[in-house]
Amino acid sequence: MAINKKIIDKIKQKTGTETDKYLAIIELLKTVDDGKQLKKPIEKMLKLFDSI
Amino acid sequence: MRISNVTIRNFRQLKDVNINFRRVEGRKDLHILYANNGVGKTNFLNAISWCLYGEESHLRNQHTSLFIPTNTVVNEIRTTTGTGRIEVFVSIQITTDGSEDYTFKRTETYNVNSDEVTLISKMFDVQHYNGSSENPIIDEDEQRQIINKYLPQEISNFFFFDGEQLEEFFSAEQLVNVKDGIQNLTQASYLKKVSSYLDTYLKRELSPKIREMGSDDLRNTEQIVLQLSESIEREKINIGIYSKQQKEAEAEVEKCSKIIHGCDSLPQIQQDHKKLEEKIELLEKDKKQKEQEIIVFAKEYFILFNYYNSISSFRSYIKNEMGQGHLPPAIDKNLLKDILETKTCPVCQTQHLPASSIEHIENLLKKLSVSSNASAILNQTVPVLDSLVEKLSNYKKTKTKLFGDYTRITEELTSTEEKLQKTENYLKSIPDADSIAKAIENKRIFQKLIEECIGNVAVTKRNIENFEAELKRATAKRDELLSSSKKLEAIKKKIDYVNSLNSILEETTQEVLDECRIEIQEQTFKIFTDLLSKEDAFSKVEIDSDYSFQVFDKFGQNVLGSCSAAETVLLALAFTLALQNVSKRDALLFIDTPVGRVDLDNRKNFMSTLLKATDSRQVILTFTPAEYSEGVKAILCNEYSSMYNLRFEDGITEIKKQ
Repeated sequence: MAINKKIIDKIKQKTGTETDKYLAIIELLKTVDDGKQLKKPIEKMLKLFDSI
Repeated sequence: MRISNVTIRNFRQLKDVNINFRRVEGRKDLHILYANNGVGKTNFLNAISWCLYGEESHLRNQHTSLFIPTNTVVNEIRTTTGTGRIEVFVSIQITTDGSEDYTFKRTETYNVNSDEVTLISKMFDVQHYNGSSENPIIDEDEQRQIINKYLPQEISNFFFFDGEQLEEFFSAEQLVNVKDGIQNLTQASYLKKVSSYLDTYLKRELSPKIREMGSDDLRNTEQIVLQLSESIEREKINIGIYSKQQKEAEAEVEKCSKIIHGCDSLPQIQQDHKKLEEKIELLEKDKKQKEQEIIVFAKEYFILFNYYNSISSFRSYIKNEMGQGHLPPAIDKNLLKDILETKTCPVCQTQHLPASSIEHIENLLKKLSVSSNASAILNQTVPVLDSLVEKLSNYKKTKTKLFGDYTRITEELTSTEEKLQKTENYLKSIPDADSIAKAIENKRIFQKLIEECIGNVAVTKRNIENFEAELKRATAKRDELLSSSKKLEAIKKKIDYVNSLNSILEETTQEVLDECRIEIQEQTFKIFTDLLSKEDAFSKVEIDSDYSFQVFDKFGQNVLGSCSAAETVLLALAFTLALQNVSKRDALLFIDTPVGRVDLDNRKNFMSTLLKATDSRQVILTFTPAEYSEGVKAILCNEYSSMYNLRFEDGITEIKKQ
């Protein structure tokens, strides 16, 4: 199942030009949708953040 | 999402049942289960909820219900081998919008002996098919997550609903779970889950680093931030507990009020009961009369059909003879014979008639085969024969009318008897003085509890406000200290980043839930008014943030509690459809006895709305013969994809596709 379009639109609107935040949240939501654990994607996200 | 197949073994009276809900091209995704009361319609629904959630949600009485295994199979074991085992299972195959299939199968094995039936093992299997391969899903959390993804248990009563148990549909107890269900349907639960995990990450991963690497002051401040955050969380949980307690207490107050005030309408119900009895008496008389008419009809037509060939050929013979002028209409055969003998005209008395006249009379005489008397009798027979032939030609019409009347009377009688039964059950359930006294006492206790809960919520909210103010100050101090420390700069950035993600998630969650609630509220009212036969009876539906319902009449009064049974069914259906529309989750709709409580005036709208609902979802309906009236049949007969007839024989329900 895909993430609700309404949620995607709202997050897009709230993150504006901060694409990294938009992508990070969508990635985390997809992880929940797939029924997987959030720890690894969050660590991956913060590592990426370090490199920015 | 739709159910494509259900297989049931040894579940109550459903010993061996397999139903394939295949959609027929050109038809609606509508399926009908047709059966008398007590045959197993509701247990079919129970089998589904048992398979998915491990509970039978639609039992009339959870405490007095029998064990699950089929009684006849249990008795068979007891009378043959004395002891044995019986396996009960229900398997449901669903197809999702992404063309993936899941099969859920719940199995329980029971040991049977002469005294008891004991559960010895249980199992729940989930299989996933993605079109090319089949994978078992073993992890229990994952199994639960899949079910919640498609048919969340909290709001399962809004997918599988029982038309007979709708009194509880909008009760405080029922609506406790709706909010959680809405969060699942809108995926607000995803947002909350991510947000909660980010919080945990802050506390478990980033906060220890600050305490490890920071100065004493920073360490202390971080400790305060952590403690305050935990206190806020704890208080939020407490608010949830108090609110739940309050809702539960409100539900108990509702129950007590029903016991206390349940007798308010007693005189009216007694009067209705008397009227129903009188109506049944009249209908039984009409039924007997119709039966007599049918017997007379059968006897009469038995004779007519037996003599049809004779009647028809006799009538043809007479008509043929008449057509050829062989029957004397006015001329008397004996008179002609006299003329030939006397050769005298009987009118002018002229004697010695000429040879040409004699020849003419001889020709006439040859043509006439019967005497005038016989001809007159034959002529009189023609209209009688005509009327018999006409009667025979009206056989089909007369039969249809006679049997149509008989069916209508029988259906009305069955439906009136059902109403009488319900009224009698209600009259029998009227509580005694002790129960009323106990209910008054309990109501007082629960009302006090509600007041306490309201007070606790208010105090807790104040605590949260104070903690939040303190947290704001502590966080500002912590951030200031972090900013001044070069080595902790990277951690601060991470904390800021995670916090900013969290505030986006929290804002989005609130907006999604609020918008969803408002949309559901508007759609519920729109669908509800479309469903109602009487216009302008209600002015609006309001759903508050706890998903408590209020329905206002045109004078602005909340009238939810005084809605009729039919109106409650229509409101429940409207809410269910609105819920599914707004969540964009077109889950199926299984309604047991949908029109049982809907009066004739509202049935057409109700069925038309259900038909419209099949445009975007699967709809499964169950009917008793009385509910599947001619009107309902006329709306559905050319629309459904499948119809199954459930029949009860020798303690077992058999299913036949129609």
